Amino acid sequence: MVDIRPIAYLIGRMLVVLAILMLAPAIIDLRAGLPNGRDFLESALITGGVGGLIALATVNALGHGLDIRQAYLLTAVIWLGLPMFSALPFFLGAPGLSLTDAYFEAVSGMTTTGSTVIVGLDALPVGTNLWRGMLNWIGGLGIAFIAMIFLPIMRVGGMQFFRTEGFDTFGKALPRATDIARALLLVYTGLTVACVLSYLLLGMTILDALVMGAATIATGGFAPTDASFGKYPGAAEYVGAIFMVLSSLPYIRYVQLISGRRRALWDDLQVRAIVLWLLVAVAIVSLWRIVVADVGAEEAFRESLFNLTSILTGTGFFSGSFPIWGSFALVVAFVLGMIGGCSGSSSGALSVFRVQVSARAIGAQIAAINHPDRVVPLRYAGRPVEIETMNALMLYVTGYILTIGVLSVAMTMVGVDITSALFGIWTSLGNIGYGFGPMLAETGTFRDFPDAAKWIMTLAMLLGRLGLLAIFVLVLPQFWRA
Amino acid sequence: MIDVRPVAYVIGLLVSAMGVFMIFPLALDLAAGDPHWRAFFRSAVICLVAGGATAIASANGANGSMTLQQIFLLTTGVWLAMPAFGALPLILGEPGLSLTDAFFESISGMTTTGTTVIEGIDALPLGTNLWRAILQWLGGLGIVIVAMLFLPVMKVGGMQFFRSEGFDTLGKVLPRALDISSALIQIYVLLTVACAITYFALGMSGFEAVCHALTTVSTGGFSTSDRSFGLFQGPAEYAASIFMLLGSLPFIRFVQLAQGSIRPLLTDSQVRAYLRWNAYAVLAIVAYELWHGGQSLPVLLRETTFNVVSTFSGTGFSSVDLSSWGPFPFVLLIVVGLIGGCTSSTGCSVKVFRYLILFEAIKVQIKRLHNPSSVNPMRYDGQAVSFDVVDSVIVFFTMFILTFGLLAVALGLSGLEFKTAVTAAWTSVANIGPVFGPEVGPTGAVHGFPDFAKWLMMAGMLVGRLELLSVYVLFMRRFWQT
Repeated sequence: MVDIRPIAYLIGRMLVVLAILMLAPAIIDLRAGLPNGRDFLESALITGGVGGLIALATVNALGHGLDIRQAYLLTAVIWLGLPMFSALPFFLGAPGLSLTDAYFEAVSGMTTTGSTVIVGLDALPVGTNLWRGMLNWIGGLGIAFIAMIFLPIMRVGGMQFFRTEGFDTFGKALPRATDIARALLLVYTGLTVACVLSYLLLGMTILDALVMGAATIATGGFAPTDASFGKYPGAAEYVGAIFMVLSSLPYIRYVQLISGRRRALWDDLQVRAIVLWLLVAVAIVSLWRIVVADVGAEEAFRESLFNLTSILTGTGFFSGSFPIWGSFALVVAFVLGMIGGCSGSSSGALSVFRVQVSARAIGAQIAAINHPDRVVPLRYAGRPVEIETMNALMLYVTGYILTIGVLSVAMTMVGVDITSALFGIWTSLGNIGYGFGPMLAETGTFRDFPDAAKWIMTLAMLLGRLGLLAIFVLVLPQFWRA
Repeated sequence: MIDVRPVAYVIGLLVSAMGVFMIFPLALDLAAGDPHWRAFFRSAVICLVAGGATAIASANGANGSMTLQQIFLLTTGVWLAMPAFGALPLILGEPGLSLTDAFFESISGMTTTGTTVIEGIDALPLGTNLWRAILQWLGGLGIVIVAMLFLPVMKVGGMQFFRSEGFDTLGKVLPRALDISSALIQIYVLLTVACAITYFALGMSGFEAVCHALTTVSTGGFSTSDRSFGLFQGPAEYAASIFMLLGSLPFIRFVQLAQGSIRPLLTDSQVRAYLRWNAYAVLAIVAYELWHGGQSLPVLLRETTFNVVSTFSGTGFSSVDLSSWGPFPFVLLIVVGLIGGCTSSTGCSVKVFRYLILFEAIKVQIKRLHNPSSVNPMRYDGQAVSFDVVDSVIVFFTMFILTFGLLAVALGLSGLEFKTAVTAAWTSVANIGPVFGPEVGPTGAVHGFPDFAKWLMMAGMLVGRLELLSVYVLFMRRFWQT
């Protein structure tokens, strides 16, 4: 049996931190004289109380570090449990969502998906909007941390390739983890401050700049306005695109950049690929837009750039009329959304790394057909990719596609039309936040989906965020035995 | 440089054989007193002359053995040359199609896809309809032979697993190929005759029974009527379901059955999984329709069985308007279409075998996650599965999805609606038949598609039929060197 006490202890402490964070919107709303502030206080008390009790009850079990099974359990429990408590303010206070909707919104926030069920964001109390931004931000930080430190050790979907870049043995995990976490926090905060300041300079209101800045760096996509980036057309879109790309690059490269390796970023194959692919896609779509829809070159370029970046990086902001551009733009968007940002960032979906390695594996396979006896070792960034890593990775890619298929079928079963179902799962599993289809046409949000569909999408967001297998493994009976 | 003469020799012989087959529609039209027989006469002469001349010209290069490269060239060459000549009667005679349309119809036939560009099939001369059925029958026979003899040696998509069941060394290809082919042809003819008799007994006219039998056993899907099986609702649907299932089971098991052992057929994991999955799909749709208050159970069961089996096996007959079934059944049909029949049958798509290997590999992968040092050998049907096979299967699956995706993008670019583009890509790569969407004619004919889209679909059908990689390899420069 797995010893769950160390996990419970960590969760308890995180809940206390979450409660403290809730005080920020509480104070803002209280000072503004809104009753919503009291609801935040209440949520904070519940969260802090529960968290404190759990931590106190299990404090004596800590001290041996975590083994690999506990690491799995921890990651899963964090992403299942924390949203439950962070959903409290949506449930108790404005906008008074149902249980399903509140949990959906909170999971969407903490997984940095950015799909929302709330219509009328502009009318929400400041605290609630701020809280949504904070959820994105915390979730982004958390996943960047997990992607850098836990996933390589957990060997999920070929991530063991990055093992040496994080660190190797699990025994030493905690001390080095602290170092890495500190550097990461620094980079993450630095980027956020830069982004918020840029937004302010471009004329956003303070709330918009704060929430959208936090959501940009987390590749989250929550905005405090129904119009998303449509409220600030022009220069803000360019700046937004740049920061979205920056936050979908591997964070380890920023850490190296700070410690003096100047070429760290550009030498990374993932970084080059994501920039190249993005530019190619933008070029094609803007050309198509100019030819077919007869819009101006600048507008076509700007809107393509912003929306495609938002989809590729899994952010989920939108501007202009992108969702109704037509089938070609939609299909390009679908493909980009499947790719996602780089491994080791807060982006979701397959990741550039996996797509690159799969492409090479396919090339090698075709070459091998012709010369069955020659063994061509697969290399990535100058290092050989072991068969085991390759297999894990390719299975991740297939598993991802199969999951999209299975969950889309499940969505249609509860009464969602095909387009909405497919894109709903695509956006949830890839943690994107961009919706297409008749079910969203009216409000641009996920409000009108049936409850069952919302739970399926919630599951998809969690699966996508934690790399599928990290959740599937928990379902295995062997996991729980000795 | 590859010596193309042996390849040309075989293709020449096959084209001449096709000319011989044209005698059947010729005789039918002649007997009906329809001057349309001239079209077949001229086509047959062209086939015999062109094929015969090619064969004679390259006869001295053929010495009974082939290299791997030549086999690759041969498979793709056959599936290009045969449809080209098979299209002749459709251009020279009724319905006087354009080059694009005729080639489309012919490729759709030879790849056993079953998508048609002809509206008003009922009014065609008997000979033309018989010829369309014969095209599918030949295509089905061809692919069974290729799947059993060539693919294992070509090591495409994990087919090397079946190597020992076909034969091993390349040198002996032709002599053993003849043995196996003749056994196959006997079984194939037997199934067709049985099917035709059954249809006739169930009330089809002799002509309809023969044509439909030819396209059922080959899992093709061409019909002699715009309404397809809508004309024969009732017991004929069950009979067709059985023969479509038989056509998509591994033919090697029938060969073994003919030799007196029924066990291989009953214990084959593929066969069991395929039948099981068919049953699940039928039950799921029936349950869904009953829940939503559909028609009476017997009608529902019959229609569902027929249409599910037709899609699963990649045949493409329809007896009702599938798109009116609601989102869940529709999506389920799309999914079963992406699974397809068993290996070395006339069935198409990814095939059951590959899914079984994939699931097994994913299971092993998950087990390894929390128990990294354990060794879990993969087994299939009691045989160990080598890494090599797993790799090929995964790569095949990824390639399949990629091809499907890219084709959908390209079709979207050609101006088709999203739904039309996706289902057109689906139907071509998986060789199924029906396309759904606003551009599709009321009878399911795709004559309204832009020519560009038709060519894309042809490429998709060809590539899908020949298991992708065996075509892609021809585009590698290294293939043509050495």
